[in-house]
Amino acid sequence: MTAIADRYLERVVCPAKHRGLTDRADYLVRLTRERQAQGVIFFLLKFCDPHAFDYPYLKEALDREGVPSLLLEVEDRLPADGQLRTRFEAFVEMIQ
Amino acid sequence: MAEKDEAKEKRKIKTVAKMKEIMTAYYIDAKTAGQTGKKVAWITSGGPVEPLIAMDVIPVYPENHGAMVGASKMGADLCGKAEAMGYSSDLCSYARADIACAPINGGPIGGLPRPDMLVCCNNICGTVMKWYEVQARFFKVPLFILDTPVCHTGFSAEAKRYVKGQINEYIAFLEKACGKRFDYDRIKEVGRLSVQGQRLWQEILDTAMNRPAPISAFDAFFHLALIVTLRGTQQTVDYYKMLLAEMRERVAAGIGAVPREKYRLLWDNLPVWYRTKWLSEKFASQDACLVADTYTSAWCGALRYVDENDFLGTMAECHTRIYLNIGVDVMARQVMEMADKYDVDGIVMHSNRSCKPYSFGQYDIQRIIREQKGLPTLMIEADMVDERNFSEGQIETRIDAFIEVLKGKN
Ligand code: SF4
Repeated sequence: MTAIADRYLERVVCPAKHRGLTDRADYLVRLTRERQAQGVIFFLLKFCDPHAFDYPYLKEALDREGVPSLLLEVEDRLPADGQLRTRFEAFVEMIQ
Repeated sequence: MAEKDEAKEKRKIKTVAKMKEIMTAYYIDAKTAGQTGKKVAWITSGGPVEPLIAMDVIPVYPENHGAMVGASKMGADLCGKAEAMGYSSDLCSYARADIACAPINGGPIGGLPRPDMLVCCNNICGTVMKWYEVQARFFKVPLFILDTPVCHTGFSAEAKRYVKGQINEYIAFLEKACGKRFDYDRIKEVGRLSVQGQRLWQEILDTAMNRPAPISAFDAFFHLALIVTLRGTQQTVDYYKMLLAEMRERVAAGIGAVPREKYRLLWDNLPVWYRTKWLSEKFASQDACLVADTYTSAWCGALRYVDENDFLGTMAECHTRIYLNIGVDVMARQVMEMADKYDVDGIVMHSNRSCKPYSFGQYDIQRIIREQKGLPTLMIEADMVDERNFSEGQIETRIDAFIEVLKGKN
């Protein structure tokens, strides 16, 4: 029981819940540094308000780090295969 | 013609001028707070404002500001600006408009006064929490969140304890932000005035039980501002006494909000702020009066749970058991109770793109009402502030068709 509670308290907080004003951005920046990620893809599910509200400040935090990012808004069904591939390829090319 | 104008003049609500005066003075007061040394708190419409009044903090309502943006038809432009900042067009237009206003002092009053603190109660939606986080980062001010769990049918002991604990934290937060002790005597007085104001507001809305209704939902949308923003002040009590007296005179003289009231309707959801005039004229031209609504009555819903003599003690329950924080079946029941009380012939529902908690259960509520009451309902798809989501032709056709249904029933 304690372990479950701890997990809920310690996991990276879901944006629908509040924990600090910059927790999620701090985490994202830390993770990109740790993994030496050269780019970040935001996968935004349409109509998920909490994530949509967080996107601009998360992107800003990455911009400050000089980490490029790509925003993909998807509906409950993914767009056609080719479409996604083109966007990913263009993004990867941009990073290189 | 002259006579027609006279009749129109008679129908105008006289206290409107006073209301404008009070709201102007209030905004000047808030905007000059920096010079007068008063503190300003931004607070959500469902938040507990009385402790702020008791602490002499000026409460400012971004949602009221959003309504002003909408009424001034500046919504599409500001929402577009927020989208350019990276905010999705699916987000609440109050939030989008306000977020876009802050960095440029935009909007009808050149931006809201800078907050010293933010007070957010998530009883109305989860949107306000995210919105206030954005503003807390932007203004770099402390944010207090009052978390009110959804209570579908009842209010459990655990929920009560949880929210009550937060009321104490809220007071501690205010003491810290204001640098002074909380005045427990003053809150009793403020609480008493708040309850008195809410009772008066309910009485005003209830005058619409008369035929013809002296006040329509469109009037209520306007006069609502005080019970939202200045609840707990003597000024609000005085103003509503005046308005109530005027409504009673109108009842006695048989003056209705619309010239020929034939159909009585109930409005659900927020107003379409940039089209209130168009909509009110449209319904009036069809001899339909919107005699009540679920929106403005939300500011007296707490009367069910409040104890005037223990205002702070009952605050948790009052702020948790509100219309948008209960189950859909309970919402439907409340709508039907209102339909009976105001004796309406049909229900107009604004399916509001912006406000998901309000609009989400509407189709279920519509079905429940149809099944249990057989009342015709009209669904209008629009948005309260972003006029890009309003299609006049389509809405006009729907209203006309709905009135035909009502005609067929009568
Ligand atoms: S989502 Fe609805 S309740 Fe929340 S701020 Fe917007 S209009 Fe108000």
